[in-house]
This record gives sequence, C-alpha cells and structure tokens, in this order.
Amino acid sequence: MESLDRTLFSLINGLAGRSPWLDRLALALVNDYLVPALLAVALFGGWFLGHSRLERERLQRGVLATIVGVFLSNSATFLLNLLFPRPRPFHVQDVNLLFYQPTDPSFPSNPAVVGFALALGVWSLNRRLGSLAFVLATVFAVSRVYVGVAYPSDVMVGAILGLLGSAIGPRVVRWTEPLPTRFLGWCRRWYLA
Amino acid sequence: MLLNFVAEQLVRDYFIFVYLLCLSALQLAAARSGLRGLAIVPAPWGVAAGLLFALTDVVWFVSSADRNTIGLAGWEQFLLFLMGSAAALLTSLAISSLLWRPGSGPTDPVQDGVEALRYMSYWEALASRRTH
Repeated sequence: MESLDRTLFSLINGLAGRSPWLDRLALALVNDYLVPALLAVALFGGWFLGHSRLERERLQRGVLATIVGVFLSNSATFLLNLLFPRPRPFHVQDVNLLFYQPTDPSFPSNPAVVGFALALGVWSLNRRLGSLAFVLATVFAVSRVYVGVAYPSDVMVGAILGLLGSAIGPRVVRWTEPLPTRFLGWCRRWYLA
Repeated sequence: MLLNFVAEQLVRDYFIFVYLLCLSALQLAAARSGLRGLAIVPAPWGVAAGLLFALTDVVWFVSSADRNTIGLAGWEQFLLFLMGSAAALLTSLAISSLLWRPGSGPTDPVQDGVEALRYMSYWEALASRRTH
C-alpha cells in the first residue's frame, strides 16, 4: 500500500516542472486561500438564494450543516495529525517541490478535508454549482500532490473525511434543535434569513 | 498561537479578496432571488456584474503577489472570512438602502425575514419593524 502510494506520488509529482502552463495553473490553484474562499463564498451566496421562505430555510439549514461539518472534519483531522504524524514527501524522498514546506503532518491532507466538506455543502444547495465545486475541490487536492507536499493517500483520506463530516453535519443540526431554529428566527427578525 | 497575523499584506489582501467576492456573490444571489433590497446593481445586470466583479477579484488576488507562502492559519482565515462577509453584507444593504427610491417596487408589508427585501429596502424593513 505504501509503495503504491509512493508510485502514484512519483507519477503525479513527476509531471511538475515539465510544462510551464501546468505548473502555473497548479500554483494558482494550490494556495491555501483561493479555492477554500471560492467554495465558502458559494455557501455565503446560497444563504440568500431561494424563491420562497420554505426553500430559503432549507438552503440556510444546509449552510449551517456545512459549517458544522467543516468543523467536525477539521477536528478529526487535528486528532489524526496528532495520532499519525506522517512526514511530508519532501522529508523522505526526492520531490519536485513547487510549494513552500508546510510544517504540519501530511496525513490526512487538511486542504482536501476542507475542500470536499465545502463542496458537498455546496452540492446539497445546488447540484450544478456543487458539481463545479467538486471539480475545484478535486483539482485543489490533486495539486497538493503535484507540487510535492502530500501523498495521494493523504488527499484521498482527507476527501473521505471531509465528505463524512459534511454528511454528518445535517444530523448534528437536527440533534441540536431548537438552537438552529432559534438562530434562524433571530436572523429572520433582523431580515437576514 | 492561533492568531499571529504574521503577514500584514496578506491579511489585507485576503480581507479585500473575500470582501469583494462576497459582494459579488450577494449581487448574484439578489439578482437570482429578486431581493431588490440587497442589490446595488439593477436586476437585469446583477448576474453579469456579479460574475465580472468576481472574476476580476480572483485575477487580481492570484496575480498581484505570490500567494504560495506560509501566511494565514485556518482560524485566521475563518475570522477574516467572517469579517469580510459581514462587511460585504453591510455595504450591500447600506448602498441598496441609499439607492432605493420609495414606491419603486411592489409593496407587501406583511413579509418578514429576508423575503421582505423583495419589497422594501433594508432601512425601510428596519423602520417597519419599529412601527409594528
């Protein structure tokens, strides 16, 4: 399994430095800010979508559930980072490093966790926008391998963790009733929900 | 340490990036949902203006500096995102209220929540809250 992971890593990371435009694209997408912000803004906009009060409330509960999901999956990532402090690829083998050297453990990949948790949240609001969000999250995750800072298994487990967190989010929102309903009611009183 | 904010320029750029992106998203959402009290661009232009604004913002953020450096921790990003989105919402509601002409839209004073922004400006909605 470990050798398959390294082989896959070498295949993807081996492409780095060969094509200037592919490197530029990866470097534009791989940074810690762009893709998470785009996905979070899609959720922010989703809060105000909908043509009826009922539809809007469904979307807003979806946004709340996604926030809870991202928090849950991030917490799980933090614990797994502590339990399995896997070194980054550039610490153990020769890599084409196009990115700065992150100081936290490699497993699971936090950007993959956040990207996929947010993408599933966007998908639950709007299927078309959600499909685009999944493409962005996938490119974001794969680019971490391409630039040499994560193994394929790191991003795969990260993606699963993010999806799980976002899938559990709606249940947690239901368990914590009447808090979400009160919060939405408060926002509604101020014309914000 | 959760909040270091070591990279001052990055903090400023990220805040502006999120602020403008949220402003664009609000214009798109306002145009799609008919929330005139949230729009600062007339409805027929809302989607195009929102997309153009967002695209310009992304191009500026990606091309204006090297973003692939150690900078903001997750919690710092979350905090800046909250601040940027709140600022964008306030800006949108304030400008829309200033641009709103009384009697320029359908009237339906019984609506509550964000639904009211289909029929009145945010300022009018707050004023009607005080009188009811």
